[in-house]
Amino acid sequence: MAKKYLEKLLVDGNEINVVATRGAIVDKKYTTEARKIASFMINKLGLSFGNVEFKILDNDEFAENVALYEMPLPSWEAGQEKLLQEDRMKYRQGVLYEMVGHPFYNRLERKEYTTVFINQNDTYDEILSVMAHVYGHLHIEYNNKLAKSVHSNYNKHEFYRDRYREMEKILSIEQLEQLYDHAQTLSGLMDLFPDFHKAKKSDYYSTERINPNSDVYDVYKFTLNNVKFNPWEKELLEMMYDINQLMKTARIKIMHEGFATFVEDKYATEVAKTDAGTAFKMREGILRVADVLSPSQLPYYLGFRLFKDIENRWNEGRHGPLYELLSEDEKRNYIKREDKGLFEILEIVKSYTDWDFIFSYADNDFFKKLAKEIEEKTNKLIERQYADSPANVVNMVKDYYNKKIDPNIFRFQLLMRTENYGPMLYVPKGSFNGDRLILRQDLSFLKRYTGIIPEEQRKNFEREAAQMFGLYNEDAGEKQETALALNRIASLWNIPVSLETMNKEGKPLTVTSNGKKIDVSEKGDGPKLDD
Amino acid sequence: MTSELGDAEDKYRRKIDREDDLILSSTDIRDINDGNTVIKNIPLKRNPMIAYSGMGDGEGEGEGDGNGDDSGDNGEGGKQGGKVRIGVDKRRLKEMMENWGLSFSKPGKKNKKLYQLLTAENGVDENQEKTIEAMLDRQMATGYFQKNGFKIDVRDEDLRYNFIDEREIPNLSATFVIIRDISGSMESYGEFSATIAGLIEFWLRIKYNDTVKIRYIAHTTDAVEMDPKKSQDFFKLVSNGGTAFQPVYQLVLDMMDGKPYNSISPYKEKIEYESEDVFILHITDGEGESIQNVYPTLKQVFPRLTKAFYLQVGGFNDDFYKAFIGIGKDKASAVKSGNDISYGNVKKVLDKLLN
Repeated sequence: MAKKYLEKLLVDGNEINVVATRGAIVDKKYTTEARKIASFMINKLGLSFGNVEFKILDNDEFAENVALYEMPLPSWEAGQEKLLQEDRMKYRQGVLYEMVGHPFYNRLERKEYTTVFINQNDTYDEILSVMAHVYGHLHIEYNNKLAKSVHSNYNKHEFYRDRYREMEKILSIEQLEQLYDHAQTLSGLMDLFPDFHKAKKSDYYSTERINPNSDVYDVYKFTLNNVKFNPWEKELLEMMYDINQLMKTARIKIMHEGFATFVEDKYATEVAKTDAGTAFKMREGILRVADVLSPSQLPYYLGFRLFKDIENRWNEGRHGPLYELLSEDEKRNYIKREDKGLFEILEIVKSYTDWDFIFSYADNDFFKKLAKEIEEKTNKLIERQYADSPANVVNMVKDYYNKKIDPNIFRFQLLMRTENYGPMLYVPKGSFNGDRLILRQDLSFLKRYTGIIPEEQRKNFEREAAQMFGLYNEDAGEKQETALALNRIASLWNIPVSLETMNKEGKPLTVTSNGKKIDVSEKGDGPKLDD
Repeated sequence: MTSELGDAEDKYRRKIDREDDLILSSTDIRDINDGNTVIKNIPLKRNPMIAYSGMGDGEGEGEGDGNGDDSGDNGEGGKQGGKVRIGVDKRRLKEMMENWGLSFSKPGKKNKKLYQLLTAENGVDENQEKTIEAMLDRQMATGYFQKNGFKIDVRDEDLRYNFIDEREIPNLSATFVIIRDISGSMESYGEFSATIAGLIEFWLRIKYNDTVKIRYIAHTTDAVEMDPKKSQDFFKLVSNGGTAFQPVYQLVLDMMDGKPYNSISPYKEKIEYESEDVFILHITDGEGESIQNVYPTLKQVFPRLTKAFYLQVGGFNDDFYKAFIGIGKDKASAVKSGNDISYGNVKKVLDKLLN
């Protein structure tokens, strides 16, 4: 290939390759564009990532790839996902523009590539914009501590699929799918928060022969170790355990989408210097995802605004303890050119998760700006769209603005809206004797994130926390969900399973299932609040 | 790209069939019978998880289309939101009904298969040309030809056969007579009756390759043939009269014999029971006057029918039900059902009627 138009892309001193393909053929036009954008990202913004292959696919292939990424086994759920995605693309509703797939090893070139799927029905400008967006994702995948630590053995997925099909032949599909569903329910109880547990002292571990001899947070693994399964059941459950490791990345969702939109915006600014028309279209696309506050777009909106805010503050030096000491008036007029915005953002992206990110950077000033913005848009688009759903984000921000909810609770609410995983549950030390499984809720992270709460605010905080973190409250179909999930876990264990949570008043509540029936009592210890 | 997902979509379809999520109304079934594809919305299925309330859908379907239209689909809270559109056409409905255990194979006696056989004895014959070609190919490949020149030496692996040409005799046509009791007590059973009748009609259409004539008869104490072009009105008919069964079967007899009969249909036609298959579906609540009168007529009608279905909805009087089975024997299949239009019940009713 003539490399005249291609300059070398160097990341950390190594040359990387960026290529766009259509089927088996290299698409020269998009390869050139992709390399141009990559060069901007690396040299101007200082991003880093590995080899990339953009695969430009039609609707059918794209839908299949999305389905396979999210549900690697050929189950009914994957079929549903594919139909859903196809449907969305057919009617252009809630369409996915891109998806970052798993890395794969190219045997010919002896390099590892990350695949990125792009829909060929997007317009030319959209594809350029999407490529810029994707480099943001790739940077996080390449650099973030948590993203790096998530290991699902994606190379094995193909093997898993084959095994699943073999099992289907030997057993019946219904039987297999029943266990598959159970495993999916159980997958919410994997240990998704390993960094949340406080380090234990050596005397914490019991020397007596009790089961378990320390608090077990990975209920999935505990189930695998303590229930007697058939060999095929055990194999399927282990497969699902490996696959569901990927759920952990849900914890950097806001940063992922926010950062990607941020660099996309940077690229649009660069394009504007030479080609105002394209830049305008790109900006339009960005505003489309990061300006309308709908639940599915919350990560984009929140992340993008927050990164923009951080950039401004760090560029103008409005941060740090000395700045905080100033009065309101002084703060307004304070400017100290530092131009450290981008640097700060790249540092955040390296090691933070959403929880740290929101709690350390989304301060009251930021939320006030957000609320003001939303206030200005009232009666326009947003109001009409979400007027009939009380629990929506817009109302949450308004409530916050009117000082109806605690700022910390507001942060927790925002985080929960964007993340798709269950609560932290654990099997308490020494609680398992074979005839009952106890799952206790752990809320000790609340105190760690909020710090010390003043006495007058505490009652309010606790009341709201109880409403929010109770797992068996009336509203939003949650009670039914919990009951169904508990029934499934109990039928898997074949013994009663108790969930220790709290009711709306914050009093302990124990929900027990024997596989068919739910029994609720107000006894029990309730959730754990202290370390 | 090879399909890595395999038959995952089919598994999903089977699951929604099994869990009765796909509910077809009588209107849908009529549309399918007309050859259209009906689009149904199925709510997204998710495995329940222990989770906090107000969780986002977290699926990553971020970028909307800008019109905000996706909000309706993604929904608030996300978990229950989202719909999958499933198209149901003739092929799919057939599949579903086959899953219920209903067979679409043709009645055995009149549909013989014609085998066009090339040799009488074995059922196959060797295709000489192709066999010689294959032999030559082998000889060339193995170098035998170069050494020995042309020599006929046919081995087992060279043998090539003609295909069996299998054809079916063109299908018979059929007439499907739907008889509906329109007395006041039957008013609330219209939708249910239409659904069952539509599905049986569909079953027959597949069986007879769309050569099915539908005739509608409404009755109270009198019976009258209705216009077959206005099928949607037929199931909404209500009248104040009582119920009698004898006039109905007398009307059917007259239609078969080509005698004048009571009709408001513009198309009057004799039912050619000798050259066609004739099916009857009778929907009533079974509460009729002087049931004894109908026996002689029924005994005349039944030998001319291929199959007679009797659907009793509601009602407490089983006399006619028993008479119908008693006289019809193998040809009659009768079922009693409530007004439950759920999929489970529809399946049960059809199962009993058609098998």
